[in-house]
Amino acid sequence: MKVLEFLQKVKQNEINIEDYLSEIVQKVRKINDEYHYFNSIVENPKPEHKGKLFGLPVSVKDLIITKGIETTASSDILKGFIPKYDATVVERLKNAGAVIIGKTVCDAFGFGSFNLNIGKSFQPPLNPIDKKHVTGGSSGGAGGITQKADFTHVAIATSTGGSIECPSAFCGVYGFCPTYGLVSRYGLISYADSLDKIGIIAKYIEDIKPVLKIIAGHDEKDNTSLSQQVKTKEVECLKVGIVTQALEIVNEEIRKAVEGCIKKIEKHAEIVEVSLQKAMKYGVATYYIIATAEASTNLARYCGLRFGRNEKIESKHFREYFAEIRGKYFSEEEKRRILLGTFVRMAGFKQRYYVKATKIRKLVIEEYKQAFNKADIILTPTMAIFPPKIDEVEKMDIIDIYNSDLLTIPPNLAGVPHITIPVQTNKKFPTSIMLCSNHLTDYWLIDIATKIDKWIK
Amino acid sequence: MSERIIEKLCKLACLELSEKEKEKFEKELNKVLDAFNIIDEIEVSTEPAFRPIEEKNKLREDVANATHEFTELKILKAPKTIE
Repeated sequence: MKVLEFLQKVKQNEINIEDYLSEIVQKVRKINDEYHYFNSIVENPKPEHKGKLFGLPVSVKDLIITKGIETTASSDILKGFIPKYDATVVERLKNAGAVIIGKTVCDAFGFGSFNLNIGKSFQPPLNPIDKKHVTGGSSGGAGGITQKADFTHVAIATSTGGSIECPSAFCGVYGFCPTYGLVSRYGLISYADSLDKIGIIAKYIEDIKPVLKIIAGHDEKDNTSLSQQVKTKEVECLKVGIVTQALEIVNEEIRKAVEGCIKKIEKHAEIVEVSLQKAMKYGVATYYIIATAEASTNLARYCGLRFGRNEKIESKHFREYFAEIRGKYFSEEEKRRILLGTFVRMAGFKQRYYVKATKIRKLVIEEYKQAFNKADIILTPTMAIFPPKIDEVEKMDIIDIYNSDLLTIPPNLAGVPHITIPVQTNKKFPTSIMLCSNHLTDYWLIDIATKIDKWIK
Repeated sequence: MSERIIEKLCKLACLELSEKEKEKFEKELNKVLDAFNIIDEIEVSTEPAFRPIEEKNKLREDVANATHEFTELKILKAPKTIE
């Protein structure tokens, strides 16, 4: 049942919220035993306020803090951390009557594309279509539960370089990532401040807008929260920009499926070619330099003293204690990104890597602006591959893993809103198309994507 | 990336690694940096973009309000932040 229909039924007392939520908890537990989508499940979830989303079950990625519910970022170093306040997004959802049902598993601190980079205390989520395969990451639990749930539910997830888009594509659901700064980051455990966005994963495209309307908007607690308003847009004949470079690098079956969509869209809109040459060529390197630089400073606070893990400090110097705790509880990928990020900011290398990457990001943003002079929206495949098997990822080279974000990184670097739509293929797994539009045209993009979703079905 | 740089990074990042980890990361990070060096190909004369969208300074007016008051002992009383 779609969100608006559900809310209507609740309003008309056709659904008893208490019974419904109790039934959901049972279902979530059962799914979780088999697929590992949650780090924690709320015992007796119930609405705290009356509001526009009264009774709506919502899962929250375990990278967003929730008052009184363990929040771990799926990292061993934060195991046991119980926040004393809610993130703004959670507060707004609760005030609107939504109900938090649990915290979904993710790659530790959002570091990953396959949701296998998790602490030893956690279990990797399994793909809802075939358990041998990955859900995608980093919001793997959010993608998995959204597909598997046979009840009304919306997942709150985050994206830094593709963490909403990838699992949405691999699990066959819809993912929406807003304009950077539209949704408050207050209470989001920072991976990379200049790239992190909170968005939505949903089973139906119509479920995204009612939830976005609640969580979007200026927040004085977040200094990167935008005070600018979302724009409306009037388009006589929709121009859809196609990026040829993007179609050339994807799996053959994915290319065929995406080209099939373009043919159907062509009946309703004008197709134009746009170029994102710099974004495609330099995007991955630019993204990983900026993201790891910011991550290495953000993770400095986890030292066994203030958050999560702490142990007895014996006769050691503080620095020795910090280094030992960090070495013990950070996973391999967390360590790798801390080292890399520290290196690209280090004296002698900062100008060559970090500063240069921020300048290239400016070029990428300008490239998107130029493309939006030619097209109203830009369409690309979301992922170049189908979800790999878990053991295949374990054998993958680190460069291949980083390159798997090639198509999702550009809109994240530019901070433009984007939405992914699942597309059927001739294979076992679906694939996905990604639509991007200019900054602060988020609601318009969702409306256009809803039309396109109907055209391609 | 050399053994010496890995040692320096561990010190800067306050991170204890085993010898095996140091060896592994040295090899991997060299590979990653080789791939990142693609950015050397492009000349850039633009200003950096530290955020995707720039906003004007949003600082509030610096006005004292009732929640910040001096007690009789001339101690600044701040609002309670933790329950």
